[in-house]
Amino acid sequence: MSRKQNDKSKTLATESVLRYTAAATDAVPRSVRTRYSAAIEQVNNANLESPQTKTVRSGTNNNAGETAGCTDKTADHSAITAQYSTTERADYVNAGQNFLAQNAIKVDTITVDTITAATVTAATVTAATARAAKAGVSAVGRRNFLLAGLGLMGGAAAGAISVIPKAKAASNLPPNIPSWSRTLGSGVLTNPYGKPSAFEANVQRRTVDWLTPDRIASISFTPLADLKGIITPSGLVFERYHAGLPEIDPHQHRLMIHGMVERPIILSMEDLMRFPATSRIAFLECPANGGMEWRGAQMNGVQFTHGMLACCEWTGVLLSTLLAEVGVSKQASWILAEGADGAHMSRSIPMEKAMDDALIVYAQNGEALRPEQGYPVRLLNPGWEGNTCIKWLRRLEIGDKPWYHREETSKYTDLMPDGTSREFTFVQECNSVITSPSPEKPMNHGKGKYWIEGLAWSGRGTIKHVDVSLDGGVTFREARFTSIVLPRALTRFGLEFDWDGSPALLQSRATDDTGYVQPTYEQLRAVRGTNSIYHKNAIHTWKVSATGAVQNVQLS
Amino acid sequence: MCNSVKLFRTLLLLISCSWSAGGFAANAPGYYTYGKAASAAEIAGWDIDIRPDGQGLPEGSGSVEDGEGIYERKCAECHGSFGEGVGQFPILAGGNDTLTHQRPVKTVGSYWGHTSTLFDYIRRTMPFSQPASLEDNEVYALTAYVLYLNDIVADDFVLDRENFATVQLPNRNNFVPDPRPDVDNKRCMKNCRNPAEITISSSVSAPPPAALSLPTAEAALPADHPGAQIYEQYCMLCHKTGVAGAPMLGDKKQWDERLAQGLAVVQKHAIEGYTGKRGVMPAKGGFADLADDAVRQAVKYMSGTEQ
Repeated sequence: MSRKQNDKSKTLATESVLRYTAAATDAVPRSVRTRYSAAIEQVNNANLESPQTKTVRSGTNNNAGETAGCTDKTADHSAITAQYSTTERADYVNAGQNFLAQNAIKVDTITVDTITAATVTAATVTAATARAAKAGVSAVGRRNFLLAGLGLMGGAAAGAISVIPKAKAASNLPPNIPSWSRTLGSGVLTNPYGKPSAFEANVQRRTVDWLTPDRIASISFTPLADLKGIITPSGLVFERYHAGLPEIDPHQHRLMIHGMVERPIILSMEDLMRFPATSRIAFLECPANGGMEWRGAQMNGVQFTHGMLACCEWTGVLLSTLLAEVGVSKQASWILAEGADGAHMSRSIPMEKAMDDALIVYAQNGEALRPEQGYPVRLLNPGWEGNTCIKWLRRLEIGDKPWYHREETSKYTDLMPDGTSREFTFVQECNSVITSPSPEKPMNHGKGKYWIEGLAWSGRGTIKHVDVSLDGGVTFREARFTSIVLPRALTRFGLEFDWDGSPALLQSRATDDTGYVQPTYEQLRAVRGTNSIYHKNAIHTWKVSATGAVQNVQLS
Repeated sequence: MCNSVKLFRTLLLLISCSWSAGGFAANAPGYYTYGKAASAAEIAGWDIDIRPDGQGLPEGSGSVEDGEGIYERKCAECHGSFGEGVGQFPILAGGNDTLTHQRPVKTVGSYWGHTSTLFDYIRRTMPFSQPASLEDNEVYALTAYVLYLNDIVADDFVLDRENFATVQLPNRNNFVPDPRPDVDNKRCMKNCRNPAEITISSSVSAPPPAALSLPTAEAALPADHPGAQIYEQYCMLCHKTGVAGAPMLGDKKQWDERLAQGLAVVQKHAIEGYTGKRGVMPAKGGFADLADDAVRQAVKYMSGTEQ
């Protein structure tokens, strides 16, 4: 067959989303011609697959879609917008259940808390015992360790993974004196770098394994339901890697600034820290946050529907200060920012943003940046797509045109229903979500008063109002702010709610100081369809059932 | 009089300075003199970016034919021999005219706007497990080959710096500037919609799980296993996902089948390379510099064998 004759089978092969089986790899034909024949064979093979195999397949890597979100150099067609159509829906539910089973989320009931606490304590101490034994602790050290162990363990037998019987747990309650009040605690420097209580071990980043083919180019989510205030603890800020987390020696890291400048320079971290510093609190959000929900409700947990989101205090040097230092040409209008990771992640940044509030950040929440957030230095563009905030920043090139690199053309462009795509969609628009109640925080105290709380943010400015509906958007009540209200930062809101025990549909709707009101799904889809992946900021709905369970739903 | 003109000029200057520096008077270039001047050689070593107008393209060339061989060795494992994508790895070719479909397939041929993006991306970060390891001629050849897979160039095409700008991608004119805000919701407080018309169009039926799963000290695959780090750095790409028939981490059934011939044999295959009925193990996974012992440890780790 000629090449052109083969085009049809080639297209067929590709668009059937042919998946090579392991067996095929052995026999990959070397010439293009024979490859096309093999493709046909593969399609035939694919058609012969058992229904079971097919189910697994469409659940985990449906062809429909597009990248896992904050795009990924590996996951081009993973599940981020691969939400179900009617026929595919069952597959996704399966996938979702598998996923949820693997990444258990704590349900906040008293009973489970008790079990959790016991399990965590026992597991922790067992691990500590093993470590101590390995290290051959000194007599004094061993004694301290045992004291610490006793303090932690309460009534549980040392080393055993067991549940504290209810009677034992109650023995720490009034009128009894708790066990921790009758023993010595551990000494200073037990943890030279402090960490959360072992009882908080459930508060952790989680990933959705079927979104990406591996964990090197992947994403994890911030556990929003368990966080308070507006500052995300550094260790819980969502992660996004395109070539894994690089381990960078700050002494050997350099930031190069060159291109259309008078004085191209290379700065060490020490050099950078000599410049006048600025701190600001700003949110950081992946533009694919919530991208899995474009076609329909898919993720059961606020960690997964909104958890590509964090807010920290960031400290560093204004990019405008560095640009003045190198002397930027009057013709310059764009800057390429590039990372030192294996992805050499790169984005084109307009000069206006660079001169406005872009920050070259080396500290986060009062200490050096965490490796996950770009140690030793990153770019932060407040209010803009997280992806533009290049981590592990090694280079800034000043130019007069955008570079149109992969992460601003193939990815992070918003495909519209008419086949056109929006490019350089930088701003993260006004958004909000209720973090409690949520699937992770059900209303399990029966009828009565509940405190509803959540987060609102806008990349264009400051949050002015957050309104909460309990009836699916018929009536709204204005919530009050329970945090400091800052531009381009998370803002916490709260509202008291007297629940009569009947099912409810909870929504929050934020308005920013430009007058922009967070849209409904209907409004967003009317303009953008369902294939744009990014910048989904629709009003989110939690359904509360009569039992108090909370479920992710979408309304029409 | 003269003084006031001077003052006016100074004020103008100050205003223009503060305009350009976002509210702060800008210092003159070199005000701090921190750091060191970047030499031409230092810049050349790091300045890897390519623009659509060809700025940044290195000397060199590469043919579709050369690209095919390199692609088979270094790319097909993830992207598939036809660019169809293996598992969840990216599809590179096909998908033409699908952008308005319910399930668009976005590839170099169907979606990307610029050939330079392809060259730049391959050069800066491919292949996935060995980023930025390709020679410029290899990047030219691979770019040519991916263009060929998308029917954009013929099979005898040779790509170089001079003809680069002549290769245009079909979707280049379909990108538009950001028009947002593009929706106009109103801040309504009462009777915002008819309650009778509210229906739940979709919901997630899976309940959040009630139990907590935490790693325990007795975890089957201890993280401090000497093979764990080797696995994560070199083996995970295939052995986590089963690419090319790779037995997956901790999958007892898959590993036991292989271990039936003895651990030493499996380790030997991993070190020297092996082609079996179901897949291919490149020698040391393609990392020739990896020590034999490291490979042995990684095999032990993945197969759950005692240290």
